[in-house]
Amino acid sequence: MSDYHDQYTDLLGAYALDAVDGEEQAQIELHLRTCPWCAAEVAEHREVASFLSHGGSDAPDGVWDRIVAELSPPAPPLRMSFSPLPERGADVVPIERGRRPNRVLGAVLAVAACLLLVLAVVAVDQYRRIQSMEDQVALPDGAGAALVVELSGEEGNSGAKAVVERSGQGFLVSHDLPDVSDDELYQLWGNVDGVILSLGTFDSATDVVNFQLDPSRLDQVEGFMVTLEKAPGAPTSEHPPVIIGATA
Amino acid sequence: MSEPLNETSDAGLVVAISRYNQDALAEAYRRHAGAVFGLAKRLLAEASLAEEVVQEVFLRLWNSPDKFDPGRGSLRSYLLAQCHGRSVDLLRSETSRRRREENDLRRTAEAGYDLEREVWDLTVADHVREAIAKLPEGERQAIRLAYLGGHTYREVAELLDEPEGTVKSRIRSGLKHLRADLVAIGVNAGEEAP
Repeated sequence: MSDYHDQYTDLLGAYALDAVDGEEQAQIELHLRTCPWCAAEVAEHREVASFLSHGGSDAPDGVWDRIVAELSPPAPPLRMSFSPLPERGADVVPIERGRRPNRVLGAVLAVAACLLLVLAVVAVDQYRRIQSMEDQVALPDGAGAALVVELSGEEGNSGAKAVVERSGQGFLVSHDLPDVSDDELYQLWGNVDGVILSLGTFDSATDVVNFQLDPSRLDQVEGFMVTLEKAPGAPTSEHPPVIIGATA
Repeated sequence: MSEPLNETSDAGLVVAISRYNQDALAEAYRRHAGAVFGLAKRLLAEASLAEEVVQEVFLRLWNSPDKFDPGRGSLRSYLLAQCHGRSVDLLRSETSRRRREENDLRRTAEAGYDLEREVWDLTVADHVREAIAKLPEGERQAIRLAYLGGHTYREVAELLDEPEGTVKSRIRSGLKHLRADLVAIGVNAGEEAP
């Protein structure tokens, strides 16, 4: 493991218990995006912590009714980008028997069909979400989104839009940033109440950059910026923004 | 015929929630809202704030079910982590500070309070208590103050008058010891809650 990795490991327990804050928290979150070992360790710590929680209470009266009142209306049936296994006990419909096809060929075709189905589901799902966000951006006042921020370069030659839903789910769309070399990438940052948080890395070929903000703090978002960094990204940036935009 | 929701696994419930199945959310709420509320109330010490956190946690599950990764742990630990993070945000906000100080005073006045009293499920409570009791005192204190007190590790270091590096190491090693002990005595720290 590298020094870059080792500097975070001792903090993983505290981070899993929400006992790390500020810049240090942002740095760990950035590291976890690229380090499956540390991400797995944090998940283990949280699993252990869940045993320490007091669960003797009953669910509070009235809260369920308030939740139901805020549920979004029924929507298209597909939302997740993976196909779950069939539920246990699901009916199996027998295939009408005819001439028995070659088993190997059948299996290959079945796998190919499954792959195509999964890819189609992913593509449809992505298209829906992207289209939905693009539609919101197209509205004059960004109605439907909690935040819409225009980012632009110093000379106005590059731009993008950051769109954030009320759930905190955000998208950087319509960027026209130039290509970068193999050892570089773009890094998106958010300014939340003066604290600069890394929101992810991407390259110029990425159409939509997904990120997540705390939905309860959307009113504290002051803006977004994109910097050019060496791969795999930086915990803090010392580079000037390529594009930047502030909330209205 | 598909499985009734009350027999569906937690991961299956989340898949159903992703398909906008409100009954699946109700079932997840029935299974876990008590634990989520218990943790929020333990941290915030105010029922109305704790209820708000419960509401937020389950609405977030409804709005973004894909944030739950069954490969990373149980739905219960995911919901409790969400609850803990949100509660700590509230706890650390300026408006909550005074209330927290009052609650801290009240809690320290309670005789015999310790981490062992906070375990969640009677069916595993004895095992968990046993594992907690085996922890060195420094590790137990650090985990209690961080997780159930909502303190940062730097605050914990101040409270215990220990170096910050010692505290963060103790939290991590304590959690690892707990996990190892739980596994050794037959409690699977990765299994779904009943």
